[in-house]
Amino acid sequence: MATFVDRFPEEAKVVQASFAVAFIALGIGALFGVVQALHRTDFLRIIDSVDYYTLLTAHGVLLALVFTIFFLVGLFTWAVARSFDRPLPDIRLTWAWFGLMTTGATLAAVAILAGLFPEIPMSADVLYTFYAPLQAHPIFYIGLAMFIIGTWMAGADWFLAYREWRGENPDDRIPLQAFMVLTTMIMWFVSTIGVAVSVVFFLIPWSLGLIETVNPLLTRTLFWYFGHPVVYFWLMPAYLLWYTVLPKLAGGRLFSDPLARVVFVLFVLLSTPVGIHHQYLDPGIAEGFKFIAMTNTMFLLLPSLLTAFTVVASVEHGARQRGGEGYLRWLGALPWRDPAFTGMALAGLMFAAGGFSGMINAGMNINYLIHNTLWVPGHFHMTVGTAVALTMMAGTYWLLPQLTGKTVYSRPIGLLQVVLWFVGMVFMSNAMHRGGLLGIPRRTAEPQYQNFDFATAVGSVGEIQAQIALGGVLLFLSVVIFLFNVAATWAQDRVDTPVDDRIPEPLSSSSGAPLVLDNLALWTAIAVVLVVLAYTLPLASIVTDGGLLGNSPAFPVSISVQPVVDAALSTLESAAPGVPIDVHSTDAAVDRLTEVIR
Amino acid sequence: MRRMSPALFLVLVAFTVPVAVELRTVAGFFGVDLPFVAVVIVELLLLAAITAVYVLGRIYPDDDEASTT
Repeated sequence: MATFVDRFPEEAKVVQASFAVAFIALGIGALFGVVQALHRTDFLRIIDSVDYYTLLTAHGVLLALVFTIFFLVGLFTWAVARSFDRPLPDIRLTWAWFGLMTTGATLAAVAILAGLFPEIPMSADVLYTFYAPLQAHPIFYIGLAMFIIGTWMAGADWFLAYREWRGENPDDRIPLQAFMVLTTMIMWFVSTIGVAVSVVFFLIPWSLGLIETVNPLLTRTLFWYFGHPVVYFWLMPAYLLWYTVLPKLAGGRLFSDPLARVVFVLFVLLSTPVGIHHQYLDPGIAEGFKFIAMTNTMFLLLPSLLTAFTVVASVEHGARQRGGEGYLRWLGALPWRDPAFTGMALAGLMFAAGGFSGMINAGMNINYLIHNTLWVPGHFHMTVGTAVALTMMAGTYWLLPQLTGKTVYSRPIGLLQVVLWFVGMVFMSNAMHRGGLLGIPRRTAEPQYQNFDFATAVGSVGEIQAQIALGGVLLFLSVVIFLFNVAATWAQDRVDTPVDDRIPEPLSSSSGAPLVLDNLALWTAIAVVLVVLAYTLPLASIVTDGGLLGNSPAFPVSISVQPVVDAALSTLESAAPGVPIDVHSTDAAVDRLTEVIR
Repeated sequence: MRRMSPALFLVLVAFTVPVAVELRTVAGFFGVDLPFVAVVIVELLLLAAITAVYVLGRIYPDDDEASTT
């Protein structure tokens, strides 16, 4: 039976190439992750604490941007070709965006990793959020800009495919997977405007020295304009797999196609006008704007809860088709031996826990308790680090055979791998959440302080550190096993039917969905209006207060202690006129102070 | 007894980890400060229970399951 690689060989190559880049980034990012986990818990220190921030930046960029988004573009290319049942309009365009994205990601990675080598005059230790006034080498920002433009081109490629398909099928409903791709890309187009403006108009000219200063609050706000929707950009591929593949793997069918469409439309509308909830503690943004962002954020719970209902109902339907009975005994009838199913199911379960901790982040008042603490990485390791990453790894066990024509090297090893990820993440994220509640900070290589101990309500800080280190090691081991299984699969020989790739029709099909759901122009227009409403006044206020270019030079800035010493001397002279001041000793003090500051 | 597949056994073993870890937090809500060794004991008890169900299911399968295998 022909599978994807037989029907769309050119597209399959692009998807395989995208997955290959994603998995290389996953391997490097995971290695840096375990080094950090062992370093900051003080179990094993193989790097200098100064280099911790280089690895932290690389870990964030390689996993949160490169791994997730390269997997996304591969998955979406598969979904578009498969659901429109036609090749992409021009494969040269497809390879062009892949090449641009890969070049951009490589440039950004080189700029970051160069920071490990003092002899190279380049660094980008600005963390994943690249907040000004932290300044990176221009290559870092230029690489990021190329990467983003590459994703825009990918989106254009898929919309062109849609236009061709629509021309031949004017009265058909958009196939569900394609609908998910198109709505996700609308959200992405709207939301990346913020980061594009920040990088192209402010950060690149600033890093090149064309402008002296930037307004950090403005660039930060523009980052979070994009920074929260990017969360959904990570999540939507996972949703696509949960809605369309997981029910099939469970032995059943999607419960409701219309409900899935409603969920994706809600994400188009609500994803972007919420970014200020990442800035609850930023001075310079009025509390009222933050309150509006919080209210919008709470609305986002609705599509997540709808998803929980639809996916669980679909999985239960599958279990009952397989002979499962009772209120809970049907869980035993699910195909737990299939790593694709088990990985996605465990990822979904972990996402529920991550959603609950996300509600703490989203609440203005309780956010103050955990802001910038270890709680926050605990939260996003559950969401992007498990709901998304584990779903992508699990989905690979079902997708790769279609893309290569080869069976998975070892499904039992795959099962062990996904379970190991789940256990590792339970240890690590639980400890991070608990540590955050104690006030242990995030983003530091040295969370130990002299003459101060964090007060614990349950257990001890030592146990929390041990849990983080153990979890980090298990997660790294899981990635190593995954990469081995994937590489071994690629090395297999081709077979006729590597996997059952059919996706059955939903129980409640698209014919029952209101036609307005497919009106993409309408949802785009409403999304833009909501963004304008949510951001116009805060941005105007930020620019009015701090200016378009602000007054903040790059960090670290050079500081001279001479004015301080001059002022001190002047004060001493005025306080004790006539008493000679020892100029030589003050010069020595200045030299010493300069040395300390340097 | 209903036979449990090795895969389900593995997944249930994984589920015992969050149960044991979070049990301590839940106990803390009610003012019960469980020592670390208590968590280890709870985890071992859970593993023993699941292993027992798995082994018994293999030794004494349900009649319909035994007839189909």
